[in-house]
Amino acid sequence: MEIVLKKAISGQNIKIRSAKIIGVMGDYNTLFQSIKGKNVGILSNITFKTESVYDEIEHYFEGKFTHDTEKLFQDLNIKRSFFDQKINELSSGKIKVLKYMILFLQNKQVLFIDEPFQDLDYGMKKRLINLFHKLTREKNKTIILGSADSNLIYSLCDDVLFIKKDDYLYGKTEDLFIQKDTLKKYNIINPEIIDFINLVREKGVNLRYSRDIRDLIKDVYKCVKK
Amino acid sequence: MVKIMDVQNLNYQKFKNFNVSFDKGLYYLIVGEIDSGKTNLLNLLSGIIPTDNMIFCETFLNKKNRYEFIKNIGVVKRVCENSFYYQKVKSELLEPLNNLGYSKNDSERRIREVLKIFDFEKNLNSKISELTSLEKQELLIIISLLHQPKVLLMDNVLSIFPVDKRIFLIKCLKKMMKHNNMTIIEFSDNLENSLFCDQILLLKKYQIIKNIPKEELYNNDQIFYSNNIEIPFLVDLNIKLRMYGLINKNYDNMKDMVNDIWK
Repeated sequence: MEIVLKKAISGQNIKIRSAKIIGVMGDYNTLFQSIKGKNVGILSNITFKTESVYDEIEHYFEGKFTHDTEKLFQDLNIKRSFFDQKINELSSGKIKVLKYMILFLQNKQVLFIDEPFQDLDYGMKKRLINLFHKLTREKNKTIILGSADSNLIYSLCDDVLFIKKDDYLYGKTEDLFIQKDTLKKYNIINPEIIDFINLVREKGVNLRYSRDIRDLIKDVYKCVKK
Repeated sequence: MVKIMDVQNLNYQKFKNFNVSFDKGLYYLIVGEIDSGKTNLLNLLSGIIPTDNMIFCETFLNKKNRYEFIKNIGVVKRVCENSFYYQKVKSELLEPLNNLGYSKNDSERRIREVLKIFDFEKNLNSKISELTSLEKQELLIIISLLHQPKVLLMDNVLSIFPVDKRIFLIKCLKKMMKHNNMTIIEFSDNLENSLFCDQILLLKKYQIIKNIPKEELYNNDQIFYSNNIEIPFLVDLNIKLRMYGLINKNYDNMKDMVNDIWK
């Protein structure tokens, strides 16, 4: 199944796979700023209308908490005490968490998230990654992440969209990131794991392009012990 | 080593009997998960939140000496709507130096010096509105350095830059550290810049629970993971390859590591 991002880049429509996590890198600000749609949720567009976390959630959802709402709070490890806090006293990380809560509760089918883990610690990053996978696999949502972090996009995303001014390239993450010329053309920095794999391959060792450090270590061990 | 900043028995809000000291000319990285107290600590160290004779940097911070104290500190936070007073970059750069009584010639000389280090001269005559968001953040970093602070405090500002720009900015900051014997204290929720710093402090619930030189990160990865702080890829790679017996020392670059594994 596909989704069409209409007039996404200089009037061009872009087709992307639905129910996937899509990474967007390069000149993506214009895309993220121009995106509209009834079924689109954009994290950076969420603004607060009230003074407390509890009032904010109630404002958006009129107190209609469901089983799914409770499950979401569990998935994000949200404590009851969070709801008592005033918004102007929240740290930058907690503000982002609150925005995520509102985004997920809006229940839109396509989500746009710029720099998804900025201001968040590793624990929350892991929980969000699990949630992104759950939302794409179980709820068929499409999650579009904009980031300058190649390591993040390579490890997490199913597909990737590189944008440079009016030009773009879309494809599977494992196909595009191993193309040195493509990365150079779109000014994309190599993920560190790929840097390492390329250094090993230059030695004539046929190390495969893994996306996770644990798989990489196992492959390195097998290659060395051969 | 000579101490540049000393905090003794700080008791303020959630900080209870808090002690920490910082040496001249070193780069400190203070990491902590959400709500560990990073921004509050920065606000206390900078004098933004006034305290009474609990924090020392060339002079004690108190009501009488507040101005003398904050002259020694540079603070840079994330760019926001209210970050700039003026429309032009040049006016923003002149403001802090005018406030400190610099002459016009000295101000312009100092501005040119710092802009050259950061390769930012092309933006001198621009309007703030013409800058990208990353350029605005870079401008805030530059402004915080103009008055030659003894201590520069940074609140999670470097992580918004792509890795090549971040490395460039750190190199510029290190040049400034060397010229001015400046101490940098970076507050962050990750260890991305740990390879560039001298000392790493782990903050948890308003207490420092670990204070180690960066070389000891390899032996302390578990405490950082268990406190929701991710280890950088190269450090993680070193640790895992050592566990499998594939290397027997730590490498700070991948090329040497690969050359040694596949001699």
